[in-house]
Amino acid sequence: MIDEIKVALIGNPNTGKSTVFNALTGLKHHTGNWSGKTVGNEMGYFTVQDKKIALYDLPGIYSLFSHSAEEYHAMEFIAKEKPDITIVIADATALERNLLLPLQIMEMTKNVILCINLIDEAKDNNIKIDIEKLKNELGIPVIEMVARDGVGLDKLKNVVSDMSKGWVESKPILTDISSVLPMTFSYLEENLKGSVAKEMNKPFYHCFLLDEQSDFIEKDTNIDEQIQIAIEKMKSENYSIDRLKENRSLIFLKRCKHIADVTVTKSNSINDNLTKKLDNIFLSKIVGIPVMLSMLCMIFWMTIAGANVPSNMLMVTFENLGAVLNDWFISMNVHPILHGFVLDGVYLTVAWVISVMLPPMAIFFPLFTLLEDFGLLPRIAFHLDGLFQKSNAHGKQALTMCMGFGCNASGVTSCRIIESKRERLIAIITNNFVPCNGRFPTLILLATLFLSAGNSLIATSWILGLIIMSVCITLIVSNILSKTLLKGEPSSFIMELPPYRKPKLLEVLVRSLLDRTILVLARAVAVAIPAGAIIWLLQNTDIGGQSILGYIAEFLDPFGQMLGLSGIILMAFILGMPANEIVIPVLMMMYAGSGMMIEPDIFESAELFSANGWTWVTALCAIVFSLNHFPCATTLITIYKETESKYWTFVSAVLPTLVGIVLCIIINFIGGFFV
Amino acid sequence: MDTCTLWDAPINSCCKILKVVNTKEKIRLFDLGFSSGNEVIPLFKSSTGNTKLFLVKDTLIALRKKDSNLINVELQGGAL
Repeated sequence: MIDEIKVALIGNPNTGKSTVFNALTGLKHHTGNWSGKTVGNEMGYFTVQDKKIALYDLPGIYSLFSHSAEEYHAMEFIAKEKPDITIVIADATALERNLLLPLQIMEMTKNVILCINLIDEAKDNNIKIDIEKLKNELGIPVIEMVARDGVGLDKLKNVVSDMSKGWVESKPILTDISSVLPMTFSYLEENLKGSVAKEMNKPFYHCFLLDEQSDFIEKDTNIDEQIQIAIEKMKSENYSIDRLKENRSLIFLKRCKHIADVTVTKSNSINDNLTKKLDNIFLSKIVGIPVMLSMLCMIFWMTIAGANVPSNMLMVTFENLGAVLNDWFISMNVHPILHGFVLDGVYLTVAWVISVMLPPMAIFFPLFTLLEDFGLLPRIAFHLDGLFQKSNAHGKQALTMCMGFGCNASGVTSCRIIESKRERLIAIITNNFVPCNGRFPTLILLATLFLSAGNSLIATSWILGLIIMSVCITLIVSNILSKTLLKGEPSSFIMELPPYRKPKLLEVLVRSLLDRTILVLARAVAVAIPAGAIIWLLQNTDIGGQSILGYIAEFLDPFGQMLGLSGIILMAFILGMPANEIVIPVLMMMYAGSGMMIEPDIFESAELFSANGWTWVTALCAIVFSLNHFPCATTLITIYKETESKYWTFVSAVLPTLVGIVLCIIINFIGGFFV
Repeated sequence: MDTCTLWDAPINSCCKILKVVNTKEKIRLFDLGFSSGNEVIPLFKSSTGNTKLFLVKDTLIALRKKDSNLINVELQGGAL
C-alpha cells in the first residue's frame, strides 16, 4: 500500500494540462490559450478513495528529444523523482502529433495514463477516435476528457487510485529503436547489466548514456570505459549522436503516424471550421493589425473610462474610514507625530494605491484574460514578429509587451515563455518601456490638461500616439541591446497558434482577479506602506524652516530644469518608485505643502500646476519621463527574481532613465523655441 | 512536380515535405510535424514581413523565413 502517491502531469503545450491540474487540486494555477505558461513545477494535492495524491504539473513540451530547458526538466523529473504514475494529456484534435510524448514517456516509466482532452472540439471538427483500438496500440489506460467541463476527471481519479493499488495494469507497448544501432546497443546490452534505471526500456536508456547532454541519468559507477567503447562502435556504424537522435525521432514519428492511421478518422479538416473564418480576419495582412489594435484600444478605453467611478467610491470609503480612525487616534491621545505618521503617511499612501490601482486592474486583467483565452495573443505575436525580428528580438516579446500594459511586473514574469536567455533578457529589460496601468492616470491627466484643451478625443489620440511611441522605443532599444550588451543571432521563432476558444466568463473573472489583480495589488501595498512613511517623514521634518523634501527638491532643481521638469517633479518620480500611481499625488502634495496626498481632481490640478510654472512643454517632458524612467520597485524586485542578477536589474533601471533624460532634453530644447 | 523551400511555396498550396536541412531546430521541427512525407499548407504571411503560418498535422505553426527556408517541399498541384 502506498500512502502518498507521486503523480506527474505532462503534455504538449496548450492541451489543457493546467486546467486538469486546477480541476484536480483546486488550485488556481494560471491557464490561458497560448503555449508556455507552465514554466516550472507546480505541485498540489488531491485525495481519492482515502489516498493522498501529490500532483506535479510539468512544463508543456512536444517531446523529450529536442533538448529545450523544459524538456530537460521534464526528463530529469521522471528519471530522478520516479513518479508512481505519469498522466499525459493529449489534444484530441491533433492526436498524431500528441502521441509522440506518451510514446516517449512510456520508454521511461511503466505506469502511464493517457488522457485525450478536448474530445468536444474533436467532435466539432468531425474527428473520431477509436479509444479501444488506441488502448490496444499503446497498452496503457486511455481516458476521454473535456477538462474545462469536468468530463472524465472522476474517471481519471479512479484510474489513478486503481493503478496505485495494482488493480489497473499498465503494460506499455514499447517502440523498438534497437534497429537504429544494432551493434552498439547489443554491446551495451551485454556489457551493462547494472541495477539502475530498471524501469526504462534498455535501448532508450542506452541512448541517454551515449548522449553527454543527458547528465541527469542514473548510471552505475565505473562504466565510463564501456560507454567510450560504445561511442566508438557508434562511430564505426557511421553514426553521430545527432544522427542517432534524428533517426530515433523518426522511428517514434513513424509509429505515431501508424497509430493515428488506425485509430483516427476525420471527415473534414480544420480549414472548414470557425478558426479558419476568424483567421481570415485576424491574420489578414490588411485588416488584421487594425482590427486587433482597435480591440486593444477598446480595452484601454473601457479600463480608463470604467475605473473612474469605482476609484472615487473607494477613495470616499477610505476617507470615511480615515475620519473614523482619526477620531479614534484623538480619543486615545495618540502622540501627534505617531498620529500623522500612521494616518497621513502610511494609511493615505496605501489608500491611494488601492483606490487607483484596484479598479483599473480589476477591469483590465479580466478583459485581457478574455483575449488571452480566446486565442488572440499568439496572433498578435505572429503579426508583430517581423518588427521584433528586425530588432533581433523574439516574436513572443510581443506577448510579454502586451502583458506589460497591464502591469510591468506581470510582463516581466511572462518573459519566461521565451526560451533563449538572450532574447528573454531583452524582453525583460525593455518591458518597462510600455506604460503599465499605474502610469496611465499620469498620462491621461497631463494630456487632458495641457495637450488637448480638455477635448477627450484629442486626449485619447495622444494616449494612442504615446502607446505607439512606447512600442517603437521598445523595438529600437531591443535592437540596440542586441547589438551591444546582448549580442547574438535571433533564435528560431516556432510558435503554435491555438484554435479560437470560447472563454468561460465566470472562470476568467475569478482567475484574473486571483491570479493577477490580488497578487499585483498585494505586492504594491507591501511596497507602499514603507514608502508612505518615508514621504511623510521627509515632508514633515523641518530643518531651518524647510522640510527635508524641500531641500532635496532644491538640490535636484538644476538637473530637473535641464530636462524641462523641476526638482519637485523629479522628486515626485523618485518618491513614486514604490508604485507609479503615487507620482501625481506626491507632486500635488508637495505643491500644496499639505503634508497629505491629494486626489488629483482635474480642475484643482490645472490651477495648481499652472501656478507652479507648468507649460505644455513641462507636461510633455513629464509624460515622456513617465514613459521612460526606472521601473517601479515591484517590477525591479521581479526583474531581480527573474534574472537572479544585480547587474541586469541595474541595467533595467538605468536604461529607460537614460532614454527618458535624452528625450526630455531634446523636447525641452525644441519646445523652448515655441514657449 | 515543382520543388522549392517551404517559404517560397505559394499561400494555400499543398506541399509535401521532402527534407529538413540540418539545423539546431531539426528535431523540434520534426516534433511539430515538419518531417519528410508529411503534408503542409502555407496559410498566411504576417503583416510585418518574414513570418508565415503553416497548417501541418492539423495544427497552425508560425515559422520565420530563415527556419522555413530549411524545409524543402514538393508542390502537390492542388490548392485550397
